[in-house]
Amino acid sequence: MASPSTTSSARSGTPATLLLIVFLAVLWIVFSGKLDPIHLGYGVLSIALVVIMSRSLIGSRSDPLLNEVLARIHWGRALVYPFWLFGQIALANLAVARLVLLPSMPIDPVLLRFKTGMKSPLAKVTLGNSITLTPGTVTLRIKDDEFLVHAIHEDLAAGLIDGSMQRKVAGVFGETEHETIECELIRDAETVRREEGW
Amino acid sequence: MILAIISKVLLAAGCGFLIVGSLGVNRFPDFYSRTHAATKPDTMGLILSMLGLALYDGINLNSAKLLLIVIFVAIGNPAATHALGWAALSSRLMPWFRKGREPR
Amino acid sequence: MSFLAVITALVAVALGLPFYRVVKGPTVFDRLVGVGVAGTKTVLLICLVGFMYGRVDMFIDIAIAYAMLNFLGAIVVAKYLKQTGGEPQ
Repeated sequence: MASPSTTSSARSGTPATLLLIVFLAVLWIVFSGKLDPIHLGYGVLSIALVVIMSRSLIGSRSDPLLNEVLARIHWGRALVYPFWLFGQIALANLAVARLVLLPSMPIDPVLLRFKTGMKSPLAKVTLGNSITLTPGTVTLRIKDDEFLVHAIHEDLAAGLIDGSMQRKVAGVFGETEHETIECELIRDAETVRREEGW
Repeated sequence: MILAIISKVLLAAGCGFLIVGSLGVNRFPDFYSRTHAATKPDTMGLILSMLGLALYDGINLNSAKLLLIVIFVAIGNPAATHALGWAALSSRLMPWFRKGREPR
Repeated sequence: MSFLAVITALVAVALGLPFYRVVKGPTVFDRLVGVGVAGTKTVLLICLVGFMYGRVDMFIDIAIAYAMLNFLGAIVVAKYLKQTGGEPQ
């Protein structure tokens, strides 16, 4: 995976552009559902147009960041990850459904704040989205490397506090410095006012 | 035959989750807790019911389209919730805590 | 047919419930959460209506467009509120 993107700087735009083309082609064929030359021709034209227009966003030579990230992705783990995540989502839902349906509604919200060593934006986005979808936690803010997470109950955020979720995402993206630097729990309004400077 | 039964079970389960999500949005005490009810049961319910619909008429091109909607919503829903949560936080909306005071 | 009709009715009920939050919600963010929840259910409702009328291919395209609009709308409003600092009242 790593060789084509790192060998020459002139060809550094290749993997991301190629991925974009494959993605758009699959999208076109599924949405149109017709395989005659005219419709495929329209497809080729639109894909070319989109790729040309998005050159400044993705895979241009001036911004090789995305390609470096793509080159370091552990594709085997990336394929398994969605299924693991789906299992987690199912568990999260049963937990939240229980909280909603119990008449006493035993929720005890807590804010979590931790820093992560992950560098690439894609890894941070994946971690943020995964946090939102899994047990009782919603990502509120990602500023640089600091995550602010709202958890509906402390017990449901255990995987985040001990850092197993962060390790999982870091494994997919081949990030090495993934240790949770500190995980701080905020439980009352006074602390929020002091920490945020409201 | 088995496919039809699986499809109906998935549809019913997804529908249940969607109703739980709606109830949660109404029952939870503050905005931040409501985002939990808005994202998780909602996304799960949509995934299950869409899979059920995809299997309803057997597997064909429409199933692939429904699967694409599922992937799009599963990525888009958390992102939208995150954007809203960030906006609420930056406008200084105080979260509700059990032992603390009432939300403003 | 009858099974799909029952499911559609249940989804319609689930679609109606969040509007209580939209009307009541103390802050503008609560209202937006209600709208987002209703939007997700609308995507499913459109697909279900397509299955009931036997025009799945057409209704699925509408559902795709609706899902994208729902997502974009939430992002745009959230960004607007972040910039203007939507007043919690």
